[in-house]
Amino acid sequence: MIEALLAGVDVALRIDTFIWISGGLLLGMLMGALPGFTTSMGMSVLVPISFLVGDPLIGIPFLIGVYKGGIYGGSVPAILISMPGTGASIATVFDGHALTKKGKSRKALEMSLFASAISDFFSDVFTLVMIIPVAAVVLGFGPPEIAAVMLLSLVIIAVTATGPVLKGLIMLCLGVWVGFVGADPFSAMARYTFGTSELYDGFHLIPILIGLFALPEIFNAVKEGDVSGARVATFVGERLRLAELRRSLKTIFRSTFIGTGIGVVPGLGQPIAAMMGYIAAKNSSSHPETFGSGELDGVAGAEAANNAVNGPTMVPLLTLGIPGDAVTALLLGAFMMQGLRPGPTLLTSSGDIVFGILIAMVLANVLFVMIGYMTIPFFTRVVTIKKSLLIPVTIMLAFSGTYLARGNAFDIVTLIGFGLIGIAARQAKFDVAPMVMGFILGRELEYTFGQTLALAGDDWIRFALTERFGMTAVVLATPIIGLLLGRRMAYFRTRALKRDGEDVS
Amino acid sequence: MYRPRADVTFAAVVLVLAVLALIFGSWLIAQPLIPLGPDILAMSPSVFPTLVLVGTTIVSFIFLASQVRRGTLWYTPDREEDTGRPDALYRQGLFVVITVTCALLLTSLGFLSTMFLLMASTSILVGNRSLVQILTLSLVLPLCFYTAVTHVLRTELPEADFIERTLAPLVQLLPSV
Repeated sequence: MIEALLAGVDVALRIDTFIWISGGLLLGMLMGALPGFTTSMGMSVLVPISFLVGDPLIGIPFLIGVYKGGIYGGSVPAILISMPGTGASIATVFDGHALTKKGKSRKALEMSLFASAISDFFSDVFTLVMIIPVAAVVLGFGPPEIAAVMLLSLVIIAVTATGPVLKGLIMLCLGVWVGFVGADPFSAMARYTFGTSELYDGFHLIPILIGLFALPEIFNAVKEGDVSGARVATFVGERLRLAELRRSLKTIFRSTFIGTGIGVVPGLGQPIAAMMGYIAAKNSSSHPETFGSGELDGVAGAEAANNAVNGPTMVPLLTLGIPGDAVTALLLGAFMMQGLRPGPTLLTSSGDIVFGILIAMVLANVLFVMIGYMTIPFFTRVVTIKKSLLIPVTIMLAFSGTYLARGNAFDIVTLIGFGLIGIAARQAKFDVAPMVMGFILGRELEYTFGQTLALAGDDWIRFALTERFGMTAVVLATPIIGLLLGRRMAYFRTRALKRDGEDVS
Repeated sequence: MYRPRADVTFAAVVLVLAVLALIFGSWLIAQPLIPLGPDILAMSPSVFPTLVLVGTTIVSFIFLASQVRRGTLWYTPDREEDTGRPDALYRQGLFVVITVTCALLLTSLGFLSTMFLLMASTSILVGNRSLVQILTLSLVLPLCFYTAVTHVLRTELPEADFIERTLAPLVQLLPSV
């Protein structure tokens, strides 16, 4: 695997890769900066485009650039107009907008940029270092262990979804059920196809992603009707001084540690990391009472934590094929479209390409700082663009991206069908992310579960207790972890609601 | 008459679908024509779907039961949620009709015509009243996208013959990439 890492250095250092990463960063920052335009939505329509460029060393770094840029870009409207561009930027509003009100928006935006870039860099290096030993351990996993880890991941995803746990579980089960449409993985017998040949291969991931994430946003914009742009956002004040950045380094590194730990666990994601980073910064401060009224450490803590999640989410994705959230599910789709199947054997079969992508991801942080710094004034105007101009472009990209994924007109029907499901789920306040995870992981879980049954044979008790005790331990720990995590999530939600109440009053 | 809450309706629909799928499972899932032993087929095609459907039924039922216990099945005058103005509902309905129509017509009408219809109607539905902006968005952007995809990325998009024939000489004038 070290040889693959060294080969990856060779393939990563290409000018076209860096040009596309730069494009991805710009697009991501743009999408993150536009209120109401989420990174998931933007990435879902760009995944087919990344496939069309033909080379995984261009297409996937492009999407990773969009991902990184999007998470940072969400801080721009959060700071300027108190409207987080992404869920990851909710905690940035607390002190970011307060700084804008004090006439220090430039300082806040620059702190957000440098905190994001520093934490992203260190977490990407961690990813590159950790992926080798994790991949080596995972190579020893068999179907029973993989099935157990997938079950644990699904439970974590359900309990950490937005809203009550029962709603997350319902969507998860729905997603797994949708994954059953098509041929059974063992006997190739048709399931839920209603005699339709188009359904024999099952539903394709891309129209599901675009339908569930993009169409409900458009539907919501139609509901609002007259969608004027935000009021003019101000970009004023002094630049961030080096001494101020140095003072916040401890906060940035603490949040990097928090975000990195959260990123490795599937299902937790940036919003939780940002909140925990913010709370940790406040609790560690010698003057916590200033938080919420314009404290630079508040911005640094939230932004460093949310960007630190980006890299480590690749560890379970690449080694086990388990996406941690909607965005990594999109990256999984991109990998699969490029012919790379994330899982235990990916690093041995295509190690040079994977390491090339990861190294490009680390080096992209330099571009991140440069592009971010030069474009801050541009993005302060971007937040004022009317949705009535953006929404038609989004729907065009949604339709064309869906068609371009496979050149199959049936995918457009799938897009509309899942768009309607997404709209209904949104109206009913059900989070669609567990449904996507259930769809992706459900079939894999069934396949590995079936293989486990075949391995166990008749003596499954001995099999579970002696041969595969690791699998048994994970399965037994799953409900306990789910319960503990569910309680922790309820605490964070209550705290966030309380915070909103304070802001309103 | 009170209306049921949206999340209750959604969960009820999921519950009904899951129960129906369990009842009619033998019609919806094909079984191997030749009985395959455990050495070849460790798990019948219906085992996992049945497990998941049972789980779906249980979870949906528990959710609905919890709403009944809390007395939050219905929207009431003191708990009325914003369901949108009548004109918003009209716009949403129209959006669904237009989107479905364009989806069905994409391969027959072609990309450019369908996108013009879709983007123009969406622009109007989201409140744009500037004819210049609507026409620019609906005509120029799809054309640029079509050219980029077919000429630069060398991928096909469905298009009507007469439009393809008209555009072909213009696309050939572009420098090759």
